[in-house]
Amino acid sequence: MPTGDRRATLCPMKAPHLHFVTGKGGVGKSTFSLALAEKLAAEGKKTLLVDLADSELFKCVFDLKKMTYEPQKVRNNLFLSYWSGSDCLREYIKYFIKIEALTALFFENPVTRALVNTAPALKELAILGKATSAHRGHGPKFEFDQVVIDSYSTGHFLALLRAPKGMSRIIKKGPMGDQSKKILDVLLKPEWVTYHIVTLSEDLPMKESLELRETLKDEFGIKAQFALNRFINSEFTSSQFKKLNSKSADHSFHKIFTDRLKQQEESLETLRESSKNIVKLDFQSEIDGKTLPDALTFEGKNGF
Amino acid sequence: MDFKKAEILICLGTGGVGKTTVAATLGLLAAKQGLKTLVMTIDPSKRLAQTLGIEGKVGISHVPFEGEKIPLDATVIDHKKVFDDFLRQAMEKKGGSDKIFKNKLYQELSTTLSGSQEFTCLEVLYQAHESGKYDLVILDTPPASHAMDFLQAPQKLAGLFQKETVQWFTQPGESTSLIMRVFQSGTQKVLGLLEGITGSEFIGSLKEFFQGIGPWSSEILNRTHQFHDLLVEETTHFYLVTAPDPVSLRESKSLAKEVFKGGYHLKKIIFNRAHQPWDEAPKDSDLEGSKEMLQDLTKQYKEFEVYFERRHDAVKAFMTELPQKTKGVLLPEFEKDISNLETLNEFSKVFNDEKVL
Repeated sequence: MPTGDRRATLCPMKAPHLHFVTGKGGVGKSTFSLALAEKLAAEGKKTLLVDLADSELFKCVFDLKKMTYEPQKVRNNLFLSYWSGSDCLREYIKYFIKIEALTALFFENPVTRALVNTAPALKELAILGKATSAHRGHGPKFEFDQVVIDSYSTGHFLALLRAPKGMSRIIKKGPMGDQSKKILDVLLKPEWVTYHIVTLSEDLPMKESLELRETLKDEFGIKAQFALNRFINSEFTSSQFKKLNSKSADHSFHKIFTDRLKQQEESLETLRESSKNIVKLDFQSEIDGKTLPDALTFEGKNGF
Repeated sequence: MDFKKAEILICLGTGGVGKTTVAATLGLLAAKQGLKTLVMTIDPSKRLAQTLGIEGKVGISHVPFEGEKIPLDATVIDHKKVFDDFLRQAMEKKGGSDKIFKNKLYQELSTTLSGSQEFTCLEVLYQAHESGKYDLVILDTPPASHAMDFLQAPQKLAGLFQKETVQWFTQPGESTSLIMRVFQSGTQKVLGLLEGITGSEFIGSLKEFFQGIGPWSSEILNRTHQFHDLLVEETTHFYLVTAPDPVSLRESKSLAKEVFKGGYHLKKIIFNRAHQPWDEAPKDSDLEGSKEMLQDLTKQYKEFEVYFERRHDAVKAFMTELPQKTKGVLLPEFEKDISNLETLNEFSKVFNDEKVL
């Protein structure tokens, strides 16, 4: 497609299904993103795994020195990209103004650089703009079946989602307001976007995850799904294990393991009360340092 | 734990490693040693806020603990308020209008202005230290995808408030020097471009924002220099809190390098959840039940054993690769939920920096 003709990119593109992965820090967002992306790719879908934080995990797993903005093929059907806010903005501006020299001028100007680095909401909008470009028919070619975005942890993630909402509220006129509104529209369509909250059975992540789901529902009407990481896979229940014992001490593996299993059962019940769709990610996969598609077990229907 | 010669203690680390809990525990330990201590947290979990008695409170609260001789104080940083107060103070000192507070971009987004959270943390830290009220001030750093963001943020924010940036929006074309004129003609083109992409309302609001904040930009800039001086002081100690898994340690390694390179004093590495909470493996002689269940329990145990062995190896490798000798503190997985001062106190007992790695 000649890059000079903007209208050419407006013809209907097949828009990818987007997955945003969030959760409390340290719960395994990247591990889950990787497992999900691998699974989708194994199903034959052309999948892009997007990292927003230059994660060490992906570099380790795929044995890469560095990640790039341009998708790198890492497996059959699976591509990896690292999206920084300024890279997204740069691509967009280049697409918009078509003249490389002017784009360079824009980005080499120290003032713009400082502005892009710090200005409120610009980077967030650029990232979300890139993710939703095919849906809005606005922006350069972006052809994937599935896009898994390993996003920020709770607080930053909310800031990311609030950016288009806040911007469309304060800027009513002009492209900034229009596109912010359109980006938000895409993000709120369940047939286009799935939100995954990764959690652990432990108290703190559970609390934060349930709160986050409520916030997403109240503020955006988004119904997020849960992914329970470090899932201990046992054929037996905690009450069965409890009965097993007679003499072991309070700090024995048996006691502590039984307690953990019980906590996991309770957490799973709590999660089921608030969402029908739950994915479990085996603890085993963390030990191996690599996630396999069969480390994921799905409960409920998944529309992607 | 040894806090000798420290006046400020900064807990660095990526999200979810237990930084806030570690900061609170260190505060408790310091107060028990007779140091008048303030713990500054950012976005603590509800539980921890309740534990410290600072939930929903503004300003500094007293944390009563058992056997207290020296008081322990704690506070949650309210970014918006600190940023507003800073600008108000600058305004009182130098005079000027308060139209910045009416700017829509400022109202909506001043707390998401990148670097502003880090700025406000450092501002509160600076004030607490200057006040001379405390022997030790402990700061928990804001969550960031990159822990290094904390140290780089003030410079980033300062970059935005350089004279040139502010001038660009406030009085383009007024410069007399040829270089500045050339620079500004490029800038005008860029500004026009930005307007084409974003629209005039956005640019208008952005201009207003910089016009509003412009008079105080030199104050912000000065402050960031003062922050830097304080952070490199001999008495400002950095503790790096990390998860002990190989991937987190790779991130922590580059962070440690940056901290040393920046001339900061990295004193301790805290490996949270580094070893198992149980002290006994499952013993067949203790357990009675079906063969299948006993087999499953052994299988589970072996998985955990491998998990912790991998962590130990990774920690050892990490310590040998550090460019400077630093103390390493290993913490076990803590099974109890820290929801009151009693459990926090219990957690503090596993802190031991005498066994140096």
